[in-house]
Amino acid sequence: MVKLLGRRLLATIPLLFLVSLVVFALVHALPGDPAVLFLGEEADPETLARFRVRLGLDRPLVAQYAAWLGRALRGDLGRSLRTNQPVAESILERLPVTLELLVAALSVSLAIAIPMGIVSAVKRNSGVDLVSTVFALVGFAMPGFWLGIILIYVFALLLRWLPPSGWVPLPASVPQNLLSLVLPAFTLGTALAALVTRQLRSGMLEVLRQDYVRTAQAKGLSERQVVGKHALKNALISVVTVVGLQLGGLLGNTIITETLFALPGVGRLMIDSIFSRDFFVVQGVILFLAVGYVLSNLLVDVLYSYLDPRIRLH
Amino acid sequence: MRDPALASPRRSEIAPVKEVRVVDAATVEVTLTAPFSPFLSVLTDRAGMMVSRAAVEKYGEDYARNPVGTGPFRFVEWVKDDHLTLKRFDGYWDPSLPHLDEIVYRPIPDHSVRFAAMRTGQIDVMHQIAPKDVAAARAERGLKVSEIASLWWQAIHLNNQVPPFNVKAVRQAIWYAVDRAVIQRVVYYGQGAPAWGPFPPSMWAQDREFTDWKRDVARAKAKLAEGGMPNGFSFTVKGWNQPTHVQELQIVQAQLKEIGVDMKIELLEFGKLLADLNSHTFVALRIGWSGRPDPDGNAHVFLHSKGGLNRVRYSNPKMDELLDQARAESDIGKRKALYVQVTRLAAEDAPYAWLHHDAEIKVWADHVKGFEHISDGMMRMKGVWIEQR
Amino acid sequence: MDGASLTAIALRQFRRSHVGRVGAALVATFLGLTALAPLLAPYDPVATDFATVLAPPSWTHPFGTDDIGRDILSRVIHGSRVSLEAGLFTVAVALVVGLPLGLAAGFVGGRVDDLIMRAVEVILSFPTLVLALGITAILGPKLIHALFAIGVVFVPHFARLIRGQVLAVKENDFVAAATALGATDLRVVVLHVLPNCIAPLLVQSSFSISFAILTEAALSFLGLGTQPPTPSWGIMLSTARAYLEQAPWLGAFPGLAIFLTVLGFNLLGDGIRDALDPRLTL
Repeated sequence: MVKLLGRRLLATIPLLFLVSLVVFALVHALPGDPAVLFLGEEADPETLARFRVRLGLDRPLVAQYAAWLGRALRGDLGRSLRTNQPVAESILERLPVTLELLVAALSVSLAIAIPMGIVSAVKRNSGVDLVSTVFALVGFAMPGFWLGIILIYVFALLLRWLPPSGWVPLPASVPQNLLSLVLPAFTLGTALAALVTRQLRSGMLEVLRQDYVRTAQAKGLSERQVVGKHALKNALISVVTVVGLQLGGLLGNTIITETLFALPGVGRLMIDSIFSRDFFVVQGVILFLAVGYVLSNLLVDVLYSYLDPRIRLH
Repeated sequence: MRDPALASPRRSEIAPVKEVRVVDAATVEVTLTAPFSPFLSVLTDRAGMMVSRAAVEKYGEDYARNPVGTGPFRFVEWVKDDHLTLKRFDGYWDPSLPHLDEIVYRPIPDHSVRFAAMRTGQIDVMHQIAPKDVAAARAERGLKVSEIASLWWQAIHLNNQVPPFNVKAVRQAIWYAVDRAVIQRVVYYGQGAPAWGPFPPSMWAQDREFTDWKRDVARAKAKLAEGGMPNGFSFTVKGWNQPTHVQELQIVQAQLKEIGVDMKIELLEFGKLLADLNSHTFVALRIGWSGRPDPDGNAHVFLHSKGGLNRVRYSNPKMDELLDQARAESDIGKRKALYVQVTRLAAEDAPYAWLHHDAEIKVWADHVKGFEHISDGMMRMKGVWIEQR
Repeated sequence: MDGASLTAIALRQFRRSHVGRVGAALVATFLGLTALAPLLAPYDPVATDFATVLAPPSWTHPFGTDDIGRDILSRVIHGSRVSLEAGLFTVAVALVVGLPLGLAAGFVGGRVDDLIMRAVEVILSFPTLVLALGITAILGPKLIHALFAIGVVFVPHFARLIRGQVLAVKENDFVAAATALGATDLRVVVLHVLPNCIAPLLVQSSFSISFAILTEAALSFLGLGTQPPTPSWGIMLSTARAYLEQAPWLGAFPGLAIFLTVLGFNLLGDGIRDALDPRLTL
């Protein structure tokens, strides 16, 4: 598998180049003169000229791109126009929050979806099946920010069980950190849970119908053994597929969830810097998220081919 | 402070200081270039906070990261955007103070997160509460809400140099189209007071007889026509993306629509808003001023043609004269008369569309004792102690 | 089998599908709202009433009023128009750009196909909301920019779909024969490719419209889509967040509207897909 990973990684490099090109083009497609935009209309020509030189705006676009890419590869994503803090540093500061949220959301969604998907497939047309079908349809159509608002209202304002928003970092207090994570994790994880439930159920149904399962049942293996050994592994493939397909949506929803719950993560950094018109931060975050997304997809692909021996990607 | 290389923002506040002479260990003589009434008030604020010469010489530009002052607490650490910690200074000149051992300041920009932290006991004192939350705070057990008059004013800065607000009549149209009473009631829940000038009710300088600030749609339309825009016009106002300000701007938007003016709203993060204000990159910009104890501090910098914060580039020699006179005059009665004229002239020229004077509201937990709430909004912890339960 | 009986079968299957019927009903309601908005809404959606601010639901205001006294029911009804605009505009952009790209890639093949598929892959390499946010950030927070950004993000899906249909048709013997007999590419496209595309395009469009409505609402919620005073469901939820304790009804109805509309288009898409699924016919 490592060899496969390595080969796929090499194949992804041209794609990453193109992605970086798009990100570069995005910011440099800014309407208007960047120098005037950042320094104001009143700035004198000398200051404007110095700003342009400092940012390399006077050089040809290709040279600018090469310089920018070179710096990015070394981890230098520029500096915030507002705070002068290196963008890479800002991202790394906030990354733990986003990662914790993602892990929590994935855990919540799999904890809900896996049992529900399996049980509803095994006990077709039962009450559980009905609940899970409804959940699958509803969970996916529900806008995350609406669900979040409802959860905040019920659990934080009415019942006062959980904090309505805000973040307590892990080193400060573990229980408070976990508490502040509950509502965001459920908000983020529900849509994914809905899809995984649906996919898992149909995947399991397919597998349960297949010949070898019936043969195993005929041989006298208990239902649980059948489900456990044969069906489960194949069903897991569908879970990985769904998670892989939904990674992009998950990242997007993370931005919304972080904004709704005022969590100081990478997603919030992007929104805040858009309102600050801090374009270098915006650019840096997009590049970071896009590269992260491509690499995660790669990982999922490799994992997928590892799980399903029928598919070997060359 | 006067060293231009250090670019202190307080420099203009002590401009009239000519020389300082040390008389003895407890007396200092300051000579001014001209009579300057606000001087003592200026010294009660940021400009009067003592700074260690040795520290400035040692740290230079990094002094802000290693501050040394003369207060009852000493600086421990500052993690940007996270917290700032102070600890008790044992060598304070009054050995009975302070009572507190440690103070931690936490910046929480989101008002609902801040209020939630207050309610759950994560913080003990809260600065700035959204007007809509005040009622909930008062109803909450264990919290004390203190509402006093403030020095604030909120206004829309109108760029006097670019169209359409380079025409006085157009600015006056905005002045009469805005309904300050409604804003006071709906946005601020009756807290604070409507503003028709730079002097809030807490100041002796306020012109309480002035009534020409009430909404008058007919007059606003007439002013528009007078200014050459009888069919209205369109412009963009920049504002801070906080719910209270968004609500207020939408109300102004609806009110201006009635006279045919189409106001678009551009919401920005506060730092960017301030940067745009300082670089004159705006046609209209809505922002507040936290205020200074002396009326001169609320007016001179904004209305004098050479005022350090006059970003709208307003210039009227008569106004300059009034302001300069008022700051040189030491008799309060005479100063008040001058500031009344300032208010009337400012309403006539309408370089700013003043909207509201905020109430100064602080919320603190019941176990916090000895907190003296002062209208400049600064939190002085010298005499504060925590009551153990 | 000719087209008419195929359509009849599809319709029959659609009518049998519960999912599809529910979806169709929801979408029809939504479209009805957009068409009849001025008639149905009791008030002007941007009319303010400063005496009745943050009022709870009542006879005069069935959904209550918002923070500057506007009637929420009227705003929810008119908000459907913004959502419709989002759905239609984005799909239109995706088709206008994606259709020619897909056709070119499928027909011309070779280097052109490679190039187009590469470009498509690059766009798909971005998480959709991230790309939409980036484009909106650069162009400025306005509804039309947000919709354009979402449309761009849709292009790959539509281009790929068309390309797939073109390739499938090219393999068809009938088409090869027709081409050999001198039928021009244009004839092939019009007579064979496009008709085959309609079905999958309908399915894709249904899902894309639902995604566009959701994404426009998300962007407006974040403050980067529709701007005040335009009534859009997303922007109403953004306001609702600040007043959750004082006025929870602000968030209930716009959210419900988004949910039901998105659900409707999702179910409709499912229904159409099931109806056209040849496996279910016999």
